Amino acid sequence: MSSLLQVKNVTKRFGGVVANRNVSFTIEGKNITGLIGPNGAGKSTLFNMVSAVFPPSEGEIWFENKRIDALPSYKIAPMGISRTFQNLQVFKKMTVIENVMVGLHTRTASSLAAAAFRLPRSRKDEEFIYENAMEVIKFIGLEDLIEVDAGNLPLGKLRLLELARALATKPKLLLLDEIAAGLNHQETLEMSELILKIRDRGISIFVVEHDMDLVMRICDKIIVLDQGEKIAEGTPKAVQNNQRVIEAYLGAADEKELTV
Amino acid sequence: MNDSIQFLISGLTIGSIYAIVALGFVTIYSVTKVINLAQGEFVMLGGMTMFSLIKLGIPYFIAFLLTVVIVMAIGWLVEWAVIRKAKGADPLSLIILTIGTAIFIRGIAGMVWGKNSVKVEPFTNDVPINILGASITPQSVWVMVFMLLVVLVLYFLIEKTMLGKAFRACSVNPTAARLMAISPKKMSSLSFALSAGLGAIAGLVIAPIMFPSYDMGIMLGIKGFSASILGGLGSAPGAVIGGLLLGVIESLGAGYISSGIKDAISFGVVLMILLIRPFGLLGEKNVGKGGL
Amino acid sequence: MRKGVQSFSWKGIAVFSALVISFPFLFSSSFYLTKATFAGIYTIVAVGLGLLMGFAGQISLGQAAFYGIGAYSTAILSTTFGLNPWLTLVISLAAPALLAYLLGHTMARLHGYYLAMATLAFGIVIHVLLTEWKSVTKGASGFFGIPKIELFGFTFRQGISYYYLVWAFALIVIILSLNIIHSRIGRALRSIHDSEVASGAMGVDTGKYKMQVFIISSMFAGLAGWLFAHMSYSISPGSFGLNGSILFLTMVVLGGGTSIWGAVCGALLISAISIIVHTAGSHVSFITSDFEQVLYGFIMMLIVIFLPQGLVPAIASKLKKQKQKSARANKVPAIGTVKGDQNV
Ligand SMILES: Nc1ncnc2c1ncn2[C@@H]1O[C@H](COP(=O)(O)OP(=O)(O)OP(=O)(O)O)[C@@H](O)[C@H]1O
Ligand SMILES: [Mg+2]
Repeated sequence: MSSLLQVKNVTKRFGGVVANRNVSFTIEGKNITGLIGPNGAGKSTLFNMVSAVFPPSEGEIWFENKRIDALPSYKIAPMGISRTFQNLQVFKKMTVIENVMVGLHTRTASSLAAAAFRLPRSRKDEEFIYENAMEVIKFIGLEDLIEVDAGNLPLGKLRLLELARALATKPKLLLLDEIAAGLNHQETLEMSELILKIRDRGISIFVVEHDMDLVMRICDKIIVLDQGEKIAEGTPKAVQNNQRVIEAYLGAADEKELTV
Repeated sequence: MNDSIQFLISGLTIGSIYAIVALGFVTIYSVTKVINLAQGEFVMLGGMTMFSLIKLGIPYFIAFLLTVVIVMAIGWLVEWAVIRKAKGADPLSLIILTIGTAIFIRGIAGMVWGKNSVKVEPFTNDVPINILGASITPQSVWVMVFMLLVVLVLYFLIEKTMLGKAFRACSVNPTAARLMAISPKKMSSLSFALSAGLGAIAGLVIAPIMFPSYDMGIMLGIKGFSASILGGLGSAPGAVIGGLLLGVIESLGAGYISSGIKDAISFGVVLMILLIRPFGLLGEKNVGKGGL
Repeated sequence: MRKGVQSFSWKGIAVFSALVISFPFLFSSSFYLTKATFAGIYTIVAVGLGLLMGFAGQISLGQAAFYGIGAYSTAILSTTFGLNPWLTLVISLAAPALLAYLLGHTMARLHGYYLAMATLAFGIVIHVLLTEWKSVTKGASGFFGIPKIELFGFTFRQGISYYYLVWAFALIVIILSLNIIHSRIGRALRSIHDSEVASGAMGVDTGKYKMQVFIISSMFAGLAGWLFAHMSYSISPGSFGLNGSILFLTMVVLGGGTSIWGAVCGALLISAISIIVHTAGSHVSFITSDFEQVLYGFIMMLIVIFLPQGLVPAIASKLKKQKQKSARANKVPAIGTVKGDQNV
């Protein structure tokens, strides 16, 4: 089986800070991979490079045998990578359905001129966008809220909205950056069910998560970062018992979530 | 040859004015991240106030000082009454706000002083001096001297005094500054007063050459803004270089091509430079987003 | 209609058209008609600038230059070269578009204040060229002898026929703009405002759409210039300088750029203010054109301080809140979600 995502010797520097150092791994199709590590380990930075928010300082990133590390970020979604944001980046002044409709942007192509003159093409696209957005919204369970401005949603719904918007792009690989952060116990459980359901639709998932229960339960494979370096990779069991991982977490005083 | 020296001298004269105005932009920008497009109006107010004070019979030197004080007070007022009320606005809104302030001040000036240009006597006598076959009026010399003085005083103020340290603290990190008992609000007021003072000085020294009128501010403001952008927004040396460069380009353009299209030439150059170096000559790459 | 999605409604257009059509019957004096015709021309520019400011988040301090290019292109081609104005309309649209395209390449890399500078510089260069390129533009005194527009033997002259011609175009511009903002591209543009990173991650090519909107806004200004040129017998560079650009800016700021109707209202309000000032000016001595400037400055300051989004969006959001409140009072479940407010 050829791999979906390949990260090869990736390093990222911000001035003097090395956020990622020589990180390499691959992600195979149709499963859930976890990325864990203490605060500031460089997890979000890695996600940002995979989704081309910024390029790596060194190294290469390949997706389905195409090199993507030098692409502008808007070219990533059409290739089949989508993501959510740790620090929530919903479109606050747009309604829930409109947020999800933006996710369908790249699955349509009618031009500005077609839109201005409401050519049949544009109308057809609008219909397609609305129907598909509704479908995703129903799948996620936000159908009662479609008319609400995203800025008025509570945190739990915002996380769901980000997920819906990302799904709307019809990704092959979905990056979830701390999708359960700030959720209560019940919401976290529902979220993990949802993630498994998405996986069952044939979408590969790459999650960053601090909630170890969640990670250990849903992931097929886990990658551990510490201070920018990959220190372990393997099944949840193997990683849990890895000495370096335990040290890294014990060393980070403010990390208490690892329940070994 | 003589011509080119002559053009250079007049270019440096007007360039010095642009430099002072640009320093006014930099002063406010570096403390508050606001681009004050009303900066040129301070220059106009400087020239016009001087004219009125002299007409009232106030001695030249006292009128000079009084003008600076009055315009500084107006600058302080602008910050207090307008800019402060819109804190947290995005750069787009701030641009609009200061443009609004500018045309407001200009309109009032038009109603107060009328539409005609006025004349202000030069600092010293009017007899041109000859240098290398080019003639230079004493007032031009004064303009350049004042520009250098302004640069020196500003340098001293920013680098050697507590005020300068407080300014820099506010520009780097307003929250931390507040923790250190520096009030960003007060610094913001001060920066407006200071740069209004700079504007007034520019207006005072240029008045005898330029015949001030109520609407002179807008173009001077834009030129000063261009100069500070040319040099790289936020950089004081950049502002001076940008100002002098703009003055010289304009003067050479006027001399060798046509005085009518001198503005087209200088702004054409500004456009070109922005194309090649979008962040200005001495600017950092990430400035210019502003207002954050 | 699709629930929860901003979409096009013929109702607004119909009501507005009715107002536009009935205006000449209510105010038939040539003074009002001329002012109202100008209001239509300004509306066209303001709607374009509103798209640029409210949707692409860019500021143009040189919009009057595109307006001027539109006006002078047609004036020169139809007068000096005797071309049919309908033919030169193409040039009045294409020339601003081309310049916007070239300038847009600098814009793509310029942010915030630098962009304001670039458009400002552009506006000044064009104004100077219009004034100084005397052999072509006839200089500061103005270009005169511009022919009238004809259609099927009918000549549009200043007055009621020109009023309807201008407003027909204005309505088309409004409809096209509404169509744009209610499309995938409109939503993409709105999304950039809230989070440019997320927009990018959803595959929105930010730079491309900003450029396209800039080009559209310049074409609208060019169209307005074309209409202006053929309305008057002569045009002069004075109408296309910085003051013009600031006037358009004031309209958008006042009405609110994040709504097409905002730009329209801004243009109409400013036109109304100018009529009032003009009328009052003949009775009160201190009300002069300077007073008008003071007023515009004052409006800009007040709006930025108290209603940064502009009148129309402010009123719209107020109405929406009220609607939600009454809906909640009536226990309509669909909006019951707002209870989560405190959790955010
Ligand atoms: N844009 C940036 N500029 C400068 N430094 C950055 C930037 N982004 C991240 N960093 C730095 O890189 C390091 C890694 O940050 P990153 O956000 O990737 O960590 P993380 O593993 O996601 O942490 P957390 O669990 O808190 O989300 C940190 O030291 C951070 O300060
Ligand atoms: Mg993170």
